[in-house]
Parts: sequence; structure tokens; C-alpha cells
Amino acid sequence: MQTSSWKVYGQTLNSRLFIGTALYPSPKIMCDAIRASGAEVITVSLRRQTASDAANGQQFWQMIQDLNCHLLPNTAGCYSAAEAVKTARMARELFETDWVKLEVLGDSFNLQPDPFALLDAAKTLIDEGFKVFPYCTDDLVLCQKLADLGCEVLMPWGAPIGTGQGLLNPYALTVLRERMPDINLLVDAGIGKPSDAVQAMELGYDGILLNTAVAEALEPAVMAQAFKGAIDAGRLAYEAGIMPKRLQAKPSTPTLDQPLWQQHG
Amino acid sequence: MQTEMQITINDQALAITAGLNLAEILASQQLDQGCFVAVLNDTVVPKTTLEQVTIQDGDRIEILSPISGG
Repeated sequence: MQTSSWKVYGQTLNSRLFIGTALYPSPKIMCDAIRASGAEVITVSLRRQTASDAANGQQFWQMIQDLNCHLLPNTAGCYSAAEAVKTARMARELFETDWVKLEVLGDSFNLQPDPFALLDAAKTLIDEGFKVFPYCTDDLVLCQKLADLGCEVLMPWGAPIGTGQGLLNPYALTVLRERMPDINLLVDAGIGKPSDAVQAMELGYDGILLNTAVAEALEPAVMAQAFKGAIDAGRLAYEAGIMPKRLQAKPSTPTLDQPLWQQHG
Repeated sequence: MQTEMQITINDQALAITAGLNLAEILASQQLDQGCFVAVLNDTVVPKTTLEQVTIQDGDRIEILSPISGG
């Protein structure tokens, strides 16, 4: 059974998985994994080109085009709003898209987004017509301010990038979903295994962005398929309506007309 | 007599003949192949206007291409 389609900045998507293109053992394995994931959005980046490595860049570009996915360029590695804005402008020209995954880091140990610089950069980019996908912390007030600026998508972290620790603060993510019911929310970063993705989707998140958990699996294409199934399962469960937890047990087998000796108060 | 100018491309110093446009400089360095974006003094130069931009002494050029990202 298919999960419902959804819209991101006016673009209808069927898959709820955004997947990165980094860290795979080989370009072919990357392509196989992305195809197996069913993802329709892939993240890309940009770097300075030299004459000697131009061929590699073009080979990557050709493969990306063949995947026929929406491109979501990132501003990875930027530690100031100015750097991130400049990188986003370059990415728009390079990839011919106004979508940008806005990353402005504040700490080199846990690669935590800098909320203040993130807001500054998001405001500038939105004013210039960008469709901003901010990689942010799970801070409710920050997320509200990003939404107020015009972000239609927010991508709070589950855990620091590349750690695979899953959802470290389910409470904060739950509150975000509760308080911001009309914003597209994706958990970005920290997802380590398919059950982490299920957990986020069961909370009502609209999607998942991940990279390392698939790219560094022993069999990336197989893991991509596992995440695809997990995200679909989590979404279907959310749409179906998950039963509330109770303290008191409640028999699932009807007790009406049972022999008297099996009835207890 | 041709005048020489000093510029940088991706932080590498380069002496060039004065009067060249950005497209000519990139071609001379084999940096004009395939998918790339040119940035002149921190400002993105659309690909369609590379020939219209004459390079000045001290200009800083950056050339970037696609790479994998998460």
C-alpha cells in the first residue's frame, strides 16, 4: 500500500525519503542505493574545481542527472551566514534550482546548527526568492521563527550528523509536530537504523533526510530498501491512527458469554 | 606591448594579459568544461554573461563544480 503523496514548496512528491549522495563506496553503489530507496529528492554540494579533477566532477554530474531526481544543494561546511548565503547563490546558478538545504554550523564537535546565523541567512535567502530547507535544532522557538520568515519546510536534527544515534529528544520533536501542524517537518541527521525512521514517521513527521546510515551500510542498496519500507510503514501507521498507551490492561478477547468460572472482577 | 595583470583563480596566483574576458580566461585554464559556476570577487557570474565580464587587475575568480553532499 502506498503512503499519501505530499507537497514540498508546491512540488508533489510520492516518496518521503530525501537521500544524500555522499560517502558511498563507489558511484555505482550510490546510484543503486538511490534507486532502491525510491527517493525523489537527493542532496548535492559544490566545491572548487581544478583542471585536473574536472572530469570527476562531470562524471558525478552526469550520474546525478541520470537519476532524474529533484536536487537539493546544501551549504555544508559553512560557519557564518555570509558564507552560507554565498554558497547558496553559487548553488542556485550551478544546479539551476532555488531549493537550498541551509546549513550554518555553530560548533565543530557536534556540528550543531547556529540558530542565530541560520535565521540571518534564511531571511536573506528568502528575500532573494530561495526555497529554504533549514537544517536546524529541535528548538521550538527557533523553528517558529524560521516558519515566520517563510520556511515551508523545517529539518530538525534527530542527533548530530553522522552519529547514527537516532532520535535523542523525542519530546522536543513531538512538541514541534504538535505546535507546528501545518509545516513540513523532516528529521535530518542522526538517523542510524530503519526503526529510528519509523519512530519519526509515527510521530507525524512528513519525511526523513539521511545519508550515512545507507552509504556506510555493508549493502547500501539493501539498506536503502529497508529505509524505504520503514518510512512507508511509519507513515501508514500515523495515517491509520496509533492507539493511545494505557496503564490498565484491556482484554482483546471478548469476555461476553464466557463460562462463569473464567470471569473475574 | 601587452600589459600583464595579476589575478587569482581558486586562490592560485596567475599572471594574465590585460583585456581578456572571463570566458577567455577560463578556457585558457581548461576550467570551462561541463557544469560549473564562476564567481568573481564573491559575486556569482551567470554563465550567459561570462564573455561580457572583462577581468581587472587583482580580481579573484572562483570556479566550482558539483560534488556529492549529504
